Amino acid sequence: MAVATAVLLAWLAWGTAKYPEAFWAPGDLSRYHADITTCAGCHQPFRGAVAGQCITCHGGSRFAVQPKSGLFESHQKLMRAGKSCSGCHTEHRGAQAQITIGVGRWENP
Amino acid sequence: MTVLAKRFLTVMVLVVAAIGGALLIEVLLSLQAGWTFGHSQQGHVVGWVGFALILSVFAYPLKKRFDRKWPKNWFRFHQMAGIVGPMLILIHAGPHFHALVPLFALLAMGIVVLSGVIGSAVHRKALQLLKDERKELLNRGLSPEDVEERLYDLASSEETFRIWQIIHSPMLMMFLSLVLAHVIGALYFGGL
Repeated sequence: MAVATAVLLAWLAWGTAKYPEAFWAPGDLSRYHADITTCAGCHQPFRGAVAGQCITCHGGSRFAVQPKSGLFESHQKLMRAGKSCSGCHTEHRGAQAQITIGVGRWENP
Repeated sequence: MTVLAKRFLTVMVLVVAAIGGALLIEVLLSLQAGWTFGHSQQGHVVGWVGFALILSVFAYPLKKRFDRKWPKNWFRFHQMAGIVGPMLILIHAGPHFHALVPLFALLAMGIVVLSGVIGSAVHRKALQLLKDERKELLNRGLSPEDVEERLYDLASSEETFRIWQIIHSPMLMMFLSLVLAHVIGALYFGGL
């Protein structure tokens, strides 16, 4: 039995190192974030996907060049109000899934 | 149809209905929430409650080792917790299968529950055999002490029960390890 547990732990360690998404992810990343390959790209240990990691890529300059002009101001307002990114955005719902909640439904970002 | 066949069929139907029902509850809750119930706060709470109930099943095997008389009521609680706990986990999980660690934990749980249900049937049969043998030996005129001595070997070497123990105990160790990995993983990636 101790051997079986050791084998299980070894398998978990190997799988986490080689195929972390297959072992731990609740769903595939959407096509919007498919280029992110490491878990640490968004997740901090025991803190989840924190806003700081989102802003690393989705900073001010990225918003400013968006075609939908209102997006930059609306997000600035939300950030000043202290709203977290995960309040409206989520991931791991599959490649074709939407990642933004708008007016009570899931829609295009 | 024999009594045994009818009873077996009843149990099978109830098991399928229970599993299907629990999964259906999760689907309905998910549709209501707008996204997967298992990933919501309430979904996590259901997981914790189910886990707590599953851990409570260990009270019976511990009590059994320290009591001279078989603690029947504790066993009944063990049976109840061993069914309701996993059903709560089915509601927590729903018919969503993606990550390997929670999937294997779920499969291990299923094997443990199944082995428990089968085990209680095996045990019942073994007990019946012992009772019949005891009656037979007493009728033949042996003293009660002699009878108990002869039955001790029979009881401890009941082959079917041994095989059952070989499945139930190790399987639950694997289940606990996988659940621990799943909980730690969920807290690591999802935050405390």
